[in-house]
Amino acid sequence: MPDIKPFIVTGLALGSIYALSGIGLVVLYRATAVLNFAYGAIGAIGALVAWDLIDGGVPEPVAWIGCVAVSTALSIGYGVIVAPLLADRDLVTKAVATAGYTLLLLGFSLWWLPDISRSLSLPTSDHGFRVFGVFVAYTRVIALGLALVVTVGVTGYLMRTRTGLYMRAMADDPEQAGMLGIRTDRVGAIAWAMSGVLSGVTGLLIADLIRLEAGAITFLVVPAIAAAIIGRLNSLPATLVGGLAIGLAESVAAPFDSISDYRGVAPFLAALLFLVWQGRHTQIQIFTSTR
Amino acid sequence: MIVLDDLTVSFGAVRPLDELSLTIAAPTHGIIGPNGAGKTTLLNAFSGFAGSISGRITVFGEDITAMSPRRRAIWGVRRTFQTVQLADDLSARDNIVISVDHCPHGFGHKHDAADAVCELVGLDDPNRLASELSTYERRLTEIARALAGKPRLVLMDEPAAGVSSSERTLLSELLRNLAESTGAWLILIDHDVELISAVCETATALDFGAHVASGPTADVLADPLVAEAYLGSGASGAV
Amino acid sequence: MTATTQSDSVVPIIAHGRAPARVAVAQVGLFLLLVLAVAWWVPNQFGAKWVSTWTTTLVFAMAAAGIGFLYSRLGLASLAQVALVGVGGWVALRLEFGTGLPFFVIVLLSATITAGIGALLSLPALRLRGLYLTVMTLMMAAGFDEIFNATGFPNGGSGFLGYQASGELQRMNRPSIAESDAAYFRLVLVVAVVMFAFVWLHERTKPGRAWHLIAQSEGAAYSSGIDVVMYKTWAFVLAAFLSGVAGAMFAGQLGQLGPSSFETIDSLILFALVLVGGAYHWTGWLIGAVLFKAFPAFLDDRGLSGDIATMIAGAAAIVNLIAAPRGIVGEVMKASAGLRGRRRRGARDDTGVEE
Repeated sequence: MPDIKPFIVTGLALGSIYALSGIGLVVLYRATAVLNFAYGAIGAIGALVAWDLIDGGVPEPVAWIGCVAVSTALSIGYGVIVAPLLADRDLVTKAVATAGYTLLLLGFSLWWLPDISRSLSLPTSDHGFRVFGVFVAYTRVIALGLALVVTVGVTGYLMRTRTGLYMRAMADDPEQAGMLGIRTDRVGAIAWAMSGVLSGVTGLLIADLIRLEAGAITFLVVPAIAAAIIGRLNSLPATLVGGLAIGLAESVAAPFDSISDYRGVAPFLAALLFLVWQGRHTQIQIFTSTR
Repeated sequence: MIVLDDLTVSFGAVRPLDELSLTIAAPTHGIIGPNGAGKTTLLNAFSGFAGSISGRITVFGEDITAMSPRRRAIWGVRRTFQTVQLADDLSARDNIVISVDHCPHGFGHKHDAADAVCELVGLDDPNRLASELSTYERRLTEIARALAGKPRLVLMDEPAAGVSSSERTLLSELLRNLAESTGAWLILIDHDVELISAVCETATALDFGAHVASGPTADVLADPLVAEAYLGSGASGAV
Repeated sequence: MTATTQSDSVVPIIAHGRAPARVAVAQVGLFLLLVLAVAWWVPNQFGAKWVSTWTTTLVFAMAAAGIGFLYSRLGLASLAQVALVGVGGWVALRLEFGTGLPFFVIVLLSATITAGIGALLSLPALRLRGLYLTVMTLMMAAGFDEIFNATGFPNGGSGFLGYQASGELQRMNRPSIAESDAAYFRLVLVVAVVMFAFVWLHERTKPGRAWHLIAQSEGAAYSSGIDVVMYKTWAFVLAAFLSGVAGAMFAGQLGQLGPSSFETIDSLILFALVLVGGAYHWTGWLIGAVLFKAFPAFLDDRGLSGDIATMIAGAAAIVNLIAAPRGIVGEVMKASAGLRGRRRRGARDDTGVEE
């Protein structure tokens, strides 16, 4: 049995990224009913912008801020311009539109900075400590810490602040929320902004921990969605657990030669198994109105 | 006979129907009540899709409570909806054939079954697309779909909404004679007191998910409790 | 009975009203003439590279058909159809190098196996809201992308995966009646027509009717005795079958396949382009396939990057969803109906067709 300890470390870091992204997706979905497939693509452009700035001599912290700023702008831009035009459409339509946005953004990334090997590393990766004989870079700790902090923080925000309350109201019944006088467009924009910030941050983390490549960062939205599904598109703690579990499962498979090449399938399998398990308890939902 | 035993429907803390017990002994039965009284929920309970249900529904001696919605439809529980649910891109006939695609019909050929029921309800030229029909014709199509294929119990939710008064009279005729022409019993929700009086032998009034009055239609309509239920919630008795 | 083209509503994909037999026969006859014309003209007009491009376009037209009818009939968005083409191709190649079965048997088997795999993977989601199915298909696409990169495509190697990194790499053989590129183009054309007709047949009969009502209201469908989950599964199986056929034909065209043809993004792009072409009519599906394969080839000829096509696909899809749900084909039909003037629209009450 190979030594899996180093892979537990990678797994927790990877899982943290999945969890953070998953939380970004869930918060946005709850407030706006949009499952944002473009979450990863938004972060990808942010990370590439950071790389471009650093490559141009800009100091790193400025570049990171630039990354988050660009991601937030791309997120709010869609949320304020496109999403309202689809506000009364069904869930699938809203999600599919974000798939269109993904293509637009990814196409742009590849056209702007053709796919060659680039790297972006955060200074926290140069230093770390040893645990059970394994070197743990500070970046990984930050990723995990951030995942925990964001889960607790955002949950608190939703529970205790006025805007958080409005977001929960919008999730329950958007029409009613509007009639109660909640500024749904403003609250929605805040949700898109939050999602954008998380997207930029996870973009940087992915660039450092995995690789700086538009396609890879873009499609990390897939395991993020898997985590969100395990969170039933609703619960942040469950999304956190789901994300960490998927990350661990994927990484821990690495040293096992027979399945190692296929470990990228772990998120899909996790979501599939979860839905199978869920389906046993759920009554078939019946929709009596037009889709 | 149709019997409801302590039928309760809950959506979380909300109970649109609260321990409703009812016996229906006439082939045409009306359900009246103010908005929010639980009328549509009652029909949904009969159809088999109404959240969390407890209690029992027995139709002609058969306990249908455990049957899935689809099984109930095949068994013979059919319905129409408050807003007409037709496939707009299909012809009226194709919409009607859907019932006999899946439910027993007793004709040699599906299209014969569909034609027979078109004639029964008075729908002309069923080859037209559903989107091209008038409101009345769309209602007729939905009714025809419910009546095709050996219905035993037909539930109708405001079938006369949006039609002219002459069309309403035709509908009234059709519904009054339903048991005779198809063998199916009818439970009818409507706000039109005249329609209910013309069609239904007996009726039940609901308010807040509970039973207010039941019996021969004329008696129920005259019952002061029923008037209060309507007036109490701000709406008048007749639409 | 009016021929449907005279209505000012957008023509539904198949006229479910009974057109007079004469009109129907004339329409079919015209269509077949068109097919014959294309079959003769394309290989004569274009050089080898473009004949190959058009062949691939027809291959993906079948996958596009799967996307189109799932979305327009049932409102189900499948973002995995190109991945399933890859599955079909993989199975076809494995069967080719592992068995001595004839070409058409391999095509049928590949399609059936692909259909089965598609159904199995989507079944848990089909019982839930449509959004879950869309999500699962996206994950399927990403999952197969990983798998294809890990396994490669069979090329005569040994073992279950049939892949070898080097050595004498085998190619899938075309059937003897269609060995030249021109002949293979015609074969794919025929197969595509047959598959489109297969979809049309479903449309016209029991499953088509059930799908229409399910799309309108699942409650009404259940109340009419329809087994909604079964019919949704059937639709998904059919779409996967179409992709499977496409994959096998693709394998026959190229002889070998590689993971780079079946990336996650390709499934997204094809989906977007079917919307843009027009998911509600078979001509729209064809246009989607043309935009998917022929348009980037066209750009490439002019030295422009395919990424531009990707950007356009994304933007156009968003525009489509907001303002032009029936796609290019829908807009053209609206325009031509407008030109012909309103003939029969009298009192269109609130039950009129919405755009």
